[in-house]
Amino acid sequence: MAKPILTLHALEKQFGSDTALHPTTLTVEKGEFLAMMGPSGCGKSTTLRMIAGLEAPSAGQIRHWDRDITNLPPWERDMPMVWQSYALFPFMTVRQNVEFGLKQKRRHALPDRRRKAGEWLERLDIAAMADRRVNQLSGGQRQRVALARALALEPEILLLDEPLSALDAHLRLQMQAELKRLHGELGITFLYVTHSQSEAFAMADRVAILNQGHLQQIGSAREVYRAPANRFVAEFVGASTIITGTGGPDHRVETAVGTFTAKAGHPPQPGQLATVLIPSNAVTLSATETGAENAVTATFLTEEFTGSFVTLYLLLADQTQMKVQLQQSELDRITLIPGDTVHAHWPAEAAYVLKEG
Amino acid sequence: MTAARWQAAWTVLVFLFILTPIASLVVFSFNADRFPSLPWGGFSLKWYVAIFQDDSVRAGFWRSLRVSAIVSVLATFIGFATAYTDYRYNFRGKLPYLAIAALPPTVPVLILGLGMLSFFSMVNLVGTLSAVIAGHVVICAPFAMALIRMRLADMSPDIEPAAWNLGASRWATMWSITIPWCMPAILAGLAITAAVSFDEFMVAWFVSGLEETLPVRILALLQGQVSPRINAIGSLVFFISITLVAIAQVITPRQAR
Ligand SMILES: Nc1ncnc2c1ncn2[C@@H]1O[C@H](COP(=O)(O)OP(=O)(O)O)[C@@H](O)[C@H]1O
Ligand SMILES: [Mg+2]
Repeated sequence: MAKPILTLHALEKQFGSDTALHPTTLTVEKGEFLAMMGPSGCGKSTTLRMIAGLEAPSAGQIRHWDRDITNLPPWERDMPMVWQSYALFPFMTVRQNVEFGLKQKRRHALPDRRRKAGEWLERLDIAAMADRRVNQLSGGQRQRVALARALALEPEILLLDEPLSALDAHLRLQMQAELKRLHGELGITFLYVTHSQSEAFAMADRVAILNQGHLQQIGSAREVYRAPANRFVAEFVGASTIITGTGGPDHRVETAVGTFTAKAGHPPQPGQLATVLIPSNAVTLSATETGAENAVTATFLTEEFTGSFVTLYLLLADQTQMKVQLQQSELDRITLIPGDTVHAHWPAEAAYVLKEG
Repeated sequence: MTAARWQAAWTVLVFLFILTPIASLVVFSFNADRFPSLPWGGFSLKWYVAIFQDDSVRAGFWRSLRVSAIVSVLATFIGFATAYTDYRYNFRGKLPYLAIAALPPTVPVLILGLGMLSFFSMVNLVGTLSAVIAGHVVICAPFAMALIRMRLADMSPDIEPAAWNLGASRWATMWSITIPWCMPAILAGLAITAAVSFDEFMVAWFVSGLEETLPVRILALLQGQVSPRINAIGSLVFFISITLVAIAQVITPRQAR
């Protein structure tokens, strides 16, 4: 494997007696799009700020290629950041904002600065407002200025802290596509922090999932979907129904709503706690009992349409909520109104057992 | 009459009460008669001419101007430094530090003046303009600090880190981001501290000795004889102070972003 562009080694941060980040080690490959995600307050921003040099680690090391940058002041690092608040300089014009880093960091003379900033203004489609003050711009435009300001430095690594969270849904999708495109075109390493798993999965090559300052899992979106490391990740990703029970022989798990066979993941240990994930797209519904294995009877609650998919929410006998994702066309076979009883089953090969302990 | 009308009438009355003496001061400074009484004795600039010909008044005027110029720069600088340390840093003893920085205007000026007199006589500064300047800086710096602190409170905490992140050192950030952001408050601070210093009397009276500032000179004149020249000086001092205050008012940062 190639040498990582950025290495966090046992990086740790305490605020007084609170731990924002427990010792964490991870590496970032050159050119990759790594998303760090997790619920609010899990330590994402703190981690990013330590990488940028804006927060001093309590312990551990940060390396840029081979260079230890743990104690380097922020202005000597080369990792511009796009802020959740945009943090634009309010008394400057758009152009002056974009030129700021070129002047301070790259020490470009005015003509070079003008030209380079101009290129980035064009590239991000904000050249028309170059001479406006940033407080005269809309949220989406500010976002573009913030991006242009950071990218104008043409850095090796770009840090982004929830850059899209202040935008409305439509604009967010548009910017997601644009960020992904820019990443592909520029070959810059993106380190992207977000609390939104849809954002992370839509753009990132790999995702790192944090919870309460602990790194839970890092891997491709596919890996995290297919093989979540633990219950937290499974819940955060939200792609499965989670049922707990007791392990038995032959991949069997006994639960309050029936005994199932689960062949994916870690074989359940007889007599031990076993957590089974049933991917919501692996479930088949029918109006009548089919006699299939791995079947449950449930009450239909509600449905949600997204594109060509529909997500149905069912309630099992033990009050577990079950999520089922179907193609819209499959829904034609079965008509459901809230309160109806419905039968669900899934193949044993799809049911995934989490690693315990 | 409605409540609003009563309120308006009451406001007008209060302002009349406050402004009448000042108005009469200004009006009688242009009165040709020796005594400030009606009927009006005709328009004249002779009292203004008289004070400009009085060396002691002229010297006091220039001293006051010099003192207030120097004081405004020093006090605003100290005010900025205090406000900025409060904004940027957290340290043990910050609260007492801020309390001390804001304290001087709450001390009765008589006490302040006496205290300074005794301190300056220990360090052999009594009777020098430096003593007046030092005393005024103590009184004025908290005003500048309050203005600049208000402005800094409106500065997003991400702005300076964003500048560092883009390669600007602390100094470069101070010059290119923090000071420009604070500029309206800095200018307002300069004007306000100049105004406070220009007509400050008590401390100057205690420590100035023979280096009389204008307010001290005025009192000396008053003690000698009542002359309409007082009206002319008073009007001048009033206009200079009110101009400075008005400047400060106009440039004081609002909730603007
Ligand atoms: N400057 C600070 N002082 C004290 N606690 C902080 C500070 N910054 C962050 N924290 C705490 O550290 C934890 C992680 O915060 P943060 O990294 O901002 O979370 P996230 O970005 O994932 O929402 C939170 O519990 C937060 O309250
Ligand atoms: Mg955050």
